Amino acid sequence: MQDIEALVRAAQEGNLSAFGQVYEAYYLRVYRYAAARVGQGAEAEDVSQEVFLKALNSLHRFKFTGPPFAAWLFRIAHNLIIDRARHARAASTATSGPPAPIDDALSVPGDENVEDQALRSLDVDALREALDKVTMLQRQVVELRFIAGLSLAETAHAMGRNENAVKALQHSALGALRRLLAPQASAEVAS
Amino acid sequence: MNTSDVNVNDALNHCLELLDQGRTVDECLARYFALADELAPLLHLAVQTRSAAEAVVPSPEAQRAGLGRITDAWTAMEERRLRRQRGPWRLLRRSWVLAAAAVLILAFGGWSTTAAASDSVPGEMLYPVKQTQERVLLLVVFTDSRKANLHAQFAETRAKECAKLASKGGDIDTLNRTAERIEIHTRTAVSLMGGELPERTVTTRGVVRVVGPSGKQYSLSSDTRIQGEISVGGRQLWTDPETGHRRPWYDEASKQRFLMQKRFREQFRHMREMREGLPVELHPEHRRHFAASFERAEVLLQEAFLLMHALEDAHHPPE
Repeated sequence: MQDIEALVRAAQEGNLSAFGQVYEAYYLRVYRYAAARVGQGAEAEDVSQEVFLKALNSLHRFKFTGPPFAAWLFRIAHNLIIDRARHARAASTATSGPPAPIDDALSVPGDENVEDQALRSLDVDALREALDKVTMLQRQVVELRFIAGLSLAETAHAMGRNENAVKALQHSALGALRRLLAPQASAEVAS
Repeated sequence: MNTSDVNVNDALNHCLELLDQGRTVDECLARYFALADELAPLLHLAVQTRSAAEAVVPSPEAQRAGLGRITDAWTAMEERRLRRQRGPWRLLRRSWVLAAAAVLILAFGGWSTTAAASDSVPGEMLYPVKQTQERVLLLVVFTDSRKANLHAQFAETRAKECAKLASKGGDIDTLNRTAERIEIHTRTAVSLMGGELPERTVTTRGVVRVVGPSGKQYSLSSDTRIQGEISVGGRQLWTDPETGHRRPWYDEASKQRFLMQKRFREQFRHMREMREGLPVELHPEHRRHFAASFERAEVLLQEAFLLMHALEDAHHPPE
């Protein structure tokens, strides 16, 4: 984390290479987060690039005395995805379905072995259905904590809540997912 | 470990952190055996979710393309920044200057309106436009001497407004307020030049006096028209600019003091002309009142005139 802070400071002072390293450090996690919301592929890639462009434009406003950099970055991502969904809804009322095809988002890459693929794809289908059924806050905490891999503190800042609230939310979110996935989870544990 | 008091939310979070550090679910549960039944399925689910997410990977081409877009955006930002630094509008980088100019233009319908407003007098519809225009002018000059010049100019404008108000038979309250503005502008101008006018204008036996920074007293007759060559106490103060300055300008500040002195002199002349040219058809009471206002302004301008000389003397004492 200290390294990220040094890189962000260097980027704020005009070091493009430092910002490039920040991009490398966070791109994958931002992409996964975006993919969970808008679906894997071109749109998630586009969202991820836009998140970093927005971060670049506002980098001078980032203060180390405020939320951690990761929380700041994922808040940009969250707001961007909300804005895009809003514009998409306005542009096409006919195709106003849920904007998060989590099954596509969590689909596995082609080079994974068939055994792993079979094991995971089972989880992914069920997870998609379950995430569509939990509350928005529960979904957000799962996406930030378990998909983007943010720490508790980063998640709390990104969601604008205190850490105890996030602890409770992640407990309730996993509990809700467990109830929704009960037969499958039991099978997994038993095996 | 006694886990009876442990909050399940805290235990779950601690276990998730341990998993991040590479511990297994069983190791975590061993720490919280009292909560193991509740924690176990949650932790397995968390592991499965993380595992599924880790399988989501973007294409390397897209990641490289993103870096390319960032480099382009960075370059464009740098170019814009450099243009702003070099450009002729660099003074306008001060956002409040732009804002003030924009307010002036947008709120009052453009320069034609402000031009029309310049002839307005207090109480007229366009007069607020004129006041805003003056505030904007004060915002866009940055040196004290230029600000002083503007204040002196505004003092003269107020004097002309007084004359117009008088000729139109305007009300005394408006004239008083406008005359007060002459004094405020004149005092501000002198202050910006480094001097300070006396709190109240005092003439003793028809003589205007000021005390310079060195304690030296300067005076002239309040009847003096301050034109042509003037001498006070046997020392020459001013030579009419048409015939050339008697004293040289030593430096830029010295030049500004001379120019301000000239401006105060001209204002004084105008003020006296206005007083002497007050319309005869005015109500006698109004006429006396206007004359008194102008006379006070004349004395003030004489004091300002003397102070400019005193300041110059302090900086460049006569040999």
